[in-house]
Amino acid sequence: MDFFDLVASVITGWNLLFLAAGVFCGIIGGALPGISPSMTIALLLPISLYMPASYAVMLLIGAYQGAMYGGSISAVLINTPGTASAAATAFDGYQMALNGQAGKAIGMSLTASCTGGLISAIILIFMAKWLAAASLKFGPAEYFGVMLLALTLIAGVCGDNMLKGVAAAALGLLAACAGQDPIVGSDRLTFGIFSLFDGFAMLSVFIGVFAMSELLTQLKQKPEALDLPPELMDYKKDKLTLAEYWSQRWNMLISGLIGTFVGILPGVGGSTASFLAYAEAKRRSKYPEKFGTGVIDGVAASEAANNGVCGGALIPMLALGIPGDVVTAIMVGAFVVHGIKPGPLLFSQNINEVYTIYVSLLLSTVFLLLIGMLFLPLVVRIVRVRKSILFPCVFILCIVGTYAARGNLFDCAAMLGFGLFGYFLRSNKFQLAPFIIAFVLGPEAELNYRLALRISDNNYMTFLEKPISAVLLLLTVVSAVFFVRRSMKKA
Amino acid sequence: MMFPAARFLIVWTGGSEVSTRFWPYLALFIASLSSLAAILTSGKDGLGSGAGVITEAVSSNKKQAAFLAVSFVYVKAMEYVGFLAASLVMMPAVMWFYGCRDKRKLVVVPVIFLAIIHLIFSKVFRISFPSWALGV
Repeated sequence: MDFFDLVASVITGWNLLFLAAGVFCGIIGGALPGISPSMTIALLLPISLYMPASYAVMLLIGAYQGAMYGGSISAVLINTPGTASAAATAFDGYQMALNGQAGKAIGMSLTASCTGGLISAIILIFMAKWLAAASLKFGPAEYFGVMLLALTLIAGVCGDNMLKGVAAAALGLLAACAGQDPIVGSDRLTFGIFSLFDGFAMLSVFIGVFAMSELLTQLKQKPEALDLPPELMDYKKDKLTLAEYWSQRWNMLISGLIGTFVGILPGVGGSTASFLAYAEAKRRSKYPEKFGTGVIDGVAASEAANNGVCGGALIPMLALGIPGDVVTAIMVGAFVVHGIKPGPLLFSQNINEVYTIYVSLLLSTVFLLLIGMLFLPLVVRIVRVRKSILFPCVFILCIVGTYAARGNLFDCAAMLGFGLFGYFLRSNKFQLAPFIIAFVLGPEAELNYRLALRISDNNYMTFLEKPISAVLLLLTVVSAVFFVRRSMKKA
Repeated sequence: MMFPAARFLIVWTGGSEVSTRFWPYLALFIASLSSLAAILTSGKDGLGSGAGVITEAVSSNKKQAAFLAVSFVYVKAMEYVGFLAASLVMMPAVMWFYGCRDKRKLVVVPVIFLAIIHLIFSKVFRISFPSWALGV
C-alpha cells in the first residue's frame, strides 16, 4: 500500500470518534487542577484495553494532545494551571483575563496549541522513520547503551537533585524486576504471592503513582478549601482575531520547534519546553518589559511549546522504544498490551499502526481546534466542579480502572501501595518521571543487557568493543559527571 | 548482598552467566546508595533524616494514613460484600474526607456516579466486578 492508501485506511468513522473522545477527555483532564495529563492517560488506559488497537491509539493520542492544551483553561480562568506545562501560560494568560481578555487568552492558547501540535506532528513524521532506519543497526549492546543514557538523562534532568533522580530510577528498575526473569523465566521478588508471578500490573503502578498519590497530596488542603467552587473569570467577551493569530506566526513556529526538540530529550517534558519558549519569546520581543502583564505573545509561546512536546516525545518512543516523557512511558505500556511494540521494527512489522499514530497526531490538532471552540462552555462548567466531588469520583475510577485490567483485587491493593509510595516521593521532592520511565524501560534494559552478554560469552568488553555502544556509554558517563557536578554546585 | 552486584558490573565474568537476581540486586544497591547519599545531604532540600523521621511523617500525615487504611479495608471488603455495596459506603466516606458535608450530595452523587460506572464497565466492557451472595 502506498502512503495515501495507508492514510485513507486509518481515517474511519469509529477511529475519528475515538480521537474526538480522546481529545475531549484530555481537555477536561488537563483543565481540572490536580488531574495531570499523565493521570488522564493512566485513567483512560483501562478503557483502552477493551478496544481494538487503532481505537486505543486514537483515544490516547487525542487525550495527550487535549490534556496539554486543557491545562491553559484553568491557568487563564482561575490562575491555577491544570498541568505543570501550563504554568508559564498563567503568567500572561491570567493577567489578560484580569484585563478583561480571558476569551482572547483562551483563543490564543487553543490556536497556539494546535499550531505547536501540528509542527511537532510534521517533524515526527519526517524524523521517526529516519531514526528508526538508523537504529536498525542496533544490537542488544547498543540498545542497552541507549537505555542507560536515557535513564541517566532522565535522572539528571528531572528535579534539582540528581541523587534523588537516580534513587527514583533505581526503585523503578527494582519494581520492574518483580515477576519472571526475562531470560530463564524463574520467579523473583514475588514473595510467594501468586498474583506477583506476572510482576506488578502496569496499571496499578501508573494509577497508583500518578492518580492515587495526587489524591493523597490533595488531602493536605483544608476540607473547606476542597469544598469551594473555583471562581472563574468571564471568558465570553473579547475573542481572538485572525490578525492577532497571524501576528504570532513566527513566535508559534519557533516555540513549536523548541517544544518538539525539548520533547525528544528523555524526561524533560512540557513545563521546561514552555518556560524555555516563553523566555525565548521574551528575549526576541520588542517589548520584553511587558511580559507578565498580559501580553498575548507569552500565551502563544508557552502553549505552542507544550503541545510541540507531544510529537517530539513520540519520536524516540516510536523509533527507539524510549519514552520521551511520562505520558509516552504510559503509552509504551498501553501499546505493548495492544501488540504494538515501539522500536525500529515497528516500522517494518506494524506500519499500519505507525500511520494510525501519525494520522491521529495530525488530526488531533484539527479536533482540538473544533472541540476546544465548541465545547468550551461545557469544559468551563466541569472546571467548576468542587474537588470534594471530583476527587472521590477519581478515587472510584482508580479502583475500577486497576481492577478492570486483570480482574484482580490484589492489583487494587498494589495500586494503593504505589499511591503511598508516590506520595512519599512527592512529599520528599523526588520526581516521579525517573521512577515511571525506569519501570517501563527496566525489563527491556535487562533483557538487552543479558542478551548482549550471552552473545559475547559473558564478556563485558562487548559494550566497549562496539563503536555505537561505546559512544553511548561514553555519553552516559559524560552526562552523569555533568549532572553530579551541577548537583554539587547547587548544594 | 548488594556489593557482589557492583563487582559483577565491572569484572569480566569469565564465561559464567550473571545470576537471575543480579539485576534486582543492582537496582537495590544503586537505590540504597543514592537514597543514603540523598539523606546525608538532605538538610537543604527537604528530605528528612534522623530517628524521629518516621514517627514525624506519620503524625504529620494522619489524614492520608487514615484514608489509605480505609481504602485497604474497602478493597478487602469488596471480596465479601461486592463492588457496588462496598463502593456505596466508601464513596460518601471519601467525599467526607475531601470536605463534602452536604447530606444530599453524599447520597445522590455516589448513587448516580456508581450507576454510570457500573453500566459502562459491567455492561459495555463486560467486566465482572466482585459481587456478594445476592449478586449485587
